[in-house]
Amino acid sequence: MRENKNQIRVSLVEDNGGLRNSLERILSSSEGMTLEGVFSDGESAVAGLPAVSPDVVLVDINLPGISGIDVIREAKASMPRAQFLVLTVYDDPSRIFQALAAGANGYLLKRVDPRELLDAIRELHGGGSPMSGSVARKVVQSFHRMGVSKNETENLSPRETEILQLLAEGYLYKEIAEKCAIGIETVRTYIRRIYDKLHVRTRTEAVIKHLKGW
Amino acid sequence: MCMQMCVAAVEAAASDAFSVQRWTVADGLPGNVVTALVKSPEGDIIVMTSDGAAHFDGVRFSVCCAERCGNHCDAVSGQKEQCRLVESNGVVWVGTNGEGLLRIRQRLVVPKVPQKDGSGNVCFRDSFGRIWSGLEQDGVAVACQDGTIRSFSATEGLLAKDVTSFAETPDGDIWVGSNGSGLWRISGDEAVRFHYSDDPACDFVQALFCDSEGTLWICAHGDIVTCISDGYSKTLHLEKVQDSVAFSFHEEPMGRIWLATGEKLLSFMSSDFKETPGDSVDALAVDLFASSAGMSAPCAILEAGRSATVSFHSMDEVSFRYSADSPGMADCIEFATCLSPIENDWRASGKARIRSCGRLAPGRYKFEVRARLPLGVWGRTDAVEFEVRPMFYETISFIVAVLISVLAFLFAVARAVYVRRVRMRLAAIRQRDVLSLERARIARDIHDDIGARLTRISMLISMMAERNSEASDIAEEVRAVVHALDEVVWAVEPRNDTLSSFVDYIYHYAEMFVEASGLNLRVKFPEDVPDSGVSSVVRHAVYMCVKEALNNVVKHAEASKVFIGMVVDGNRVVMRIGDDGKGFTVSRNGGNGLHNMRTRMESICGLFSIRPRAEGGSEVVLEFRMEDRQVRT
Repeated sequence: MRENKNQIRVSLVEDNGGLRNSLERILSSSEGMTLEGVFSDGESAVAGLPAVSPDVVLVDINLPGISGIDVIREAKASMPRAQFLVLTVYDDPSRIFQALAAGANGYLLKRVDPRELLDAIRELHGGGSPMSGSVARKVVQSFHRMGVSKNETENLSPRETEILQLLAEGYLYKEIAEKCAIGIETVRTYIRRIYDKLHVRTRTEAVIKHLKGW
Repeated sequence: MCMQMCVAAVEAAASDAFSVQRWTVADGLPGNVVTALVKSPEGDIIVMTSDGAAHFDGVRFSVCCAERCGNHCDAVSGQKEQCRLVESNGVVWVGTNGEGLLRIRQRLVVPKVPQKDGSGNVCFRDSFGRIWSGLEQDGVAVACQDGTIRSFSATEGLLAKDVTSFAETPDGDIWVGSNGSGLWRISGDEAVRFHYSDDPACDFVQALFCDSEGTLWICAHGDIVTCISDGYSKTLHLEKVQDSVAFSFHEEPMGRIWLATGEKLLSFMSSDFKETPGDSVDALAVDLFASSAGMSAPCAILEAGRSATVSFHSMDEVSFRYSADSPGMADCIEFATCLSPIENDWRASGKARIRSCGRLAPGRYKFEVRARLPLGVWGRTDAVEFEVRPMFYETISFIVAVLISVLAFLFAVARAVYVRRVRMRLAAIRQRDVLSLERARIARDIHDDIGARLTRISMLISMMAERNSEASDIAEEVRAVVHALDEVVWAVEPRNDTLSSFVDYIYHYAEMFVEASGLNLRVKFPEDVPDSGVSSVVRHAVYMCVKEALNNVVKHAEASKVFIGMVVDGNRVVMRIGDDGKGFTVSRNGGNGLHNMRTRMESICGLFSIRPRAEGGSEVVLEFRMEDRQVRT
């Protein structure tokens, strides 16, 4: 039962008990969000998440049993509106990208400041979609490898391609906004659309076997 | 001389083995002196006698055309005819006394061979159509079909005088009988006296005849009929009538031979003579010695007519010695030899009494030898059978054994090399696998355990930091430790041993580092980076250089942009880290960082350089090589 319409309903999937406790405390004590649904492994998360139907799910990539990436893929299919934020201890670009391709919209290193963690959750819920240059580069690669889809709506538009390319070359959002003479929010919208298309294409193209090579 | 004999009266002659029929004047012959026997074109037999010719119809004789022919010839030549011959086409040849040879055809008489002194007392047509004419004084003359005349006399080696008869044997040789100078054989251009009996009476040959089976019949003085067949001779004494003269033979189908003599006509079956083997004409005993080179004593000595078996080795030079003897003629003996199965016919060996065959291939052989007097009849064949045994290294079993040994040896060597190589490769793979597993385990342990604990510490301290300012320093330090751990995990994790993974990590690091410094990053990486292997040593060295270069840019270059680029050419990778700052000066970072970078790149056989960029600022260039293998993680 929702207490407040503005409250962000957050779920957590984390296997490490100590870390889970810390995160639970941080999340439940913060303003503007409620923690609903805490899971310690992937199987129970896949089974339990649809019932909770949270706005944002924090998922640890490294889980016993099915991995966080699999959890995201399964849960995203049943809850397309939910936003997934990947938690990872260390920077492994290929693992992070696999999670993003499976349906996540952002990732966080576990060592971030608790304040940054809460900011990231709020930004994600507010429609923001962070995409770093290195992730953009992998997105360019994966669209390139998947080729052109028969379904026109699944392909990137010329503008989306341009923005993704700039991002991959290291341009920041505000630099892209200046260069393309558009607002920074518009850039965020484009990035979000690129994420959506990536998720759709990844599901339809069974790109997992491609991604395994990365 | 006139002996009354009954027609078809069969008398036991000197030999009981055959029968003789006789006809005389009383039986219808015009005279008892029978000079010639010819066959008429109709196939009848015409008997020439001193008193005319008679025609034999199979039962009785009747006087026939001889008168007419005789008259005709007399009319032409006026000379008494000595002999005649009727050809199947009707041409009659007449030998005259002192007038040479005549040919009578279609009642035309053409003098053909006028003789200066001799008389043509016999004529003979051979299978080539040549007409042979005997001369009383000196040899024979032969008229060929093309009209040429050739004579054989003392100058050609033919010492026969008073030729009485001719015969042709199937081998094409012409036999010449003479009255007093023996029997001669003309083979090609050569004439040789033929010795077939030690009896001097045999020099008086009165008639010769070769029957359809190739047997040569000789009627010599003293009622001797000698038959030469297949190299053997048999002497028959028909009748003991001293002064009788034989004139002519004739053969009927079924092998009946007719013989006309001065006083009677004889008839007998040729088979009667052939049933019993006779003595060799040239009864030459051949002694055969087989020997191998280097051995003075022969391996085998054969008595005449026996075979023996000897053995040689294939290394032996095989030779044969043989000899034969004929009283008074030993030096003239000719030999023929045959080494079967190499030779399938007799080979003339001349007068040599040794034949060397050299080395022979292993196998069974038969060496045969026979001898004869010049142009005589071949004597009995002697033979030696022998076996040439292979040397031990020529035997099939030896060759097979050697081949098998060689193959087995090669196989063993190849297998040993293969097994060794496979083992080494296996060991290398196993070692690499063990190492990879170990590295993965270390990475996992650090990540799962230490990483998580440190993260929690970091989080707890962060919460504390809101109340305690020192705690935020500790939190910062812990975060740095986690980051350092990150780098160790990344370096150790074998999954990252590829260029593509390396590039991802470099980019990831660069964007975090540059973002924190407030600079702008420009990245130029190839879209598709090969999966070629980059060992953790190389990765680590290059990564540390990139870190150092980025650090230099952020701290010293006073730049607004950082450029990172990479080019892959085969397995050579060139990485550039540039800036748009104030440019490169050696004193910028005291040279220590540059020295470190150079040392690191040299330790992985790479290249390091730093130079100004064309657009301003400077850049560090790192060049290194990837492994050839493709890595699939």
